[in-house]
Amino acid sequence: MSDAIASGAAGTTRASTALPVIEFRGVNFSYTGEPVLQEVSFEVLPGEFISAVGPNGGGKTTLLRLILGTARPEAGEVRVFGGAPERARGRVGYVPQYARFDPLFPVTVLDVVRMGRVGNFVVGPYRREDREAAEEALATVGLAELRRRPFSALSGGQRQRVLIARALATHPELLLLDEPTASVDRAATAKLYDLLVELARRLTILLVSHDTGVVSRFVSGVLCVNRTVSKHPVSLLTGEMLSELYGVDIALVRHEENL
Amino acid sequence: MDFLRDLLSFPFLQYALATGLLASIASGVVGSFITVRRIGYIAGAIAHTVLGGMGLARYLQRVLGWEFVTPLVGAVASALLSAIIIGVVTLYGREREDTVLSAVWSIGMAVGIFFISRTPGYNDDLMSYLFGNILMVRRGDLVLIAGLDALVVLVSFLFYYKLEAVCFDEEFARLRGVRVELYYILLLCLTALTIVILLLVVGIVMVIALLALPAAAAAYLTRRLWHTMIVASALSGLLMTAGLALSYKPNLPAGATIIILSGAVYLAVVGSRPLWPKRRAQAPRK
Repeated sequence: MSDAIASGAAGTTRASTALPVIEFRGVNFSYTGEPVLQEVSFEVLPGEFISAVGPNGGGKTTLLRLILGTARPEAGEVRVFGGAPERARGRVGYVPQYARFDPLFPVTVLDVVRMGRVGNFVVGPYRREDREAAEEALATVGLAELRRRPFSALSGGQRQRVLIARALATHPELLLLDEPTASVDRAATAKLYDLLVELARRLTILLVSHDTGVVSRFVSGVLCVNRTVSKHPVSLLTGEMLSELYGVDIALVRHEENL
Repeated sequence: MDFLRDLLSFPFLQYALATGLLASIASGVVGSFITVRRIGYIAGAIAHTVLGGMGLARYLQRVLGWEFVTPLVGAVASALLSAIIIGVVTLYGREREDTVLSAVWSIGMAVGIFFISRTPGYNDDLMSYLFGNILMVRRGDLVLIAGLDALVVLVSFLFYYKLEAVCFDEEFARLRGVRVELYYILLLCLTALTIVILLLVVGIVMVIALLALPAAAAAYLTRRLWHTMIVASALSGLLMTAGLALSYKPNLPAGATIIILSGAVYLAVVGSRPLWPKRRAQAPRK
């Protein structure tokens, strides 16, 4: 089994023979009886850049939690890198929304990024390789010169990039992002997508988003999430699909497409 | 000036100052964790259960003749026990957190009052732990305080980065393989031990203020957690010394004086914040 994982992850080609990074098979999930996801089956292959879109409450966040192993399916199976999600966590970089954080927490940019390495030791300080990995990740997102700034002094877009750096500090093979552009202004959003496109060359990326129009210009595929999940290559994403997915929200989506 | 002169000649005053300064170190370190993790109310609940442990210990001492169970031993035991109970219930229980805390808080006190009333002899000194009496600290207490202090600081130092990550983003730390629940309970145990140290100074009722106020003021002035700890400890030390000195001559209650000073310093720091040119404070949206 572990041989299969290793050989599958080594190749980052988009060939359909590659072992999927994420695999859902007939997954059901509900909160207190209310079904959130039903009969969900899809695969994400190595090297893909996928955006999960859908209305609020449609199950996007649940999808992330299932991939991270912080929620378990009621029926069906979720596999990440060919195994249980919990066991794949070391290979997955997770990027939450920056707005979740306490703006009063006294912490610098570099402190935050280093926390990506916190699982690498038991007692004492960070090791040299942890510090180097953090510096490198910070340089990757283009914020090396802000390393000593307080985290809360940065703009929303910068903070989001710091959180991406924190995830990158662990050298993940799969990057999961939860609404990375929420509460980020347009200029910063464009820069964030530039960064993600750059990262997508060497990582598999799944991001959750509701700004369909913007995202579809960058990603290789879209997961439409609304109780059920269907996967489409981005070229096939049509207005009808969006209106089916969002219902009355379609005007808003079209509006954002003009961005 | 009487304070300085008497400090040189009276051991009780030296013990009091030493207690205050030792307590400041643990208080600044653990208080900073408590402040950034926002669990001051949990510290309050742990503090109040300590009376239960002290009352029970005195009962065991007097009625059953268990000499080694001093009230301070009872305080350590009950603080740790309530820390673990609160930790486990808030992590795994499905109860309302505030209900659990209120229950632990008041039942702990009730147990204390119950046993104190059932214990023959003079027990009013236990009630003095409610408001603290730093001038009553004896040499034996000081040894225990120094030991607890060293333990709290050493453990905080060893697990500093783990605790920092758990306080900043528990979910992410868990995904990185950190045993978040364990560190959360460790933090509550450190809180429990710090509370025992502090209650000799300011008493059960006012412990939370000393844990929260210097650390909160320090957090505004610093940009890294360990800087917050150093500033909070120094600030606590200053407040303890000043409170002790100011209260000595007019014979004011030392604990209350220290708390009022702490409150004044905290208000001054928070109140003057808009005047600073510092960081852009931005509230979390959504």
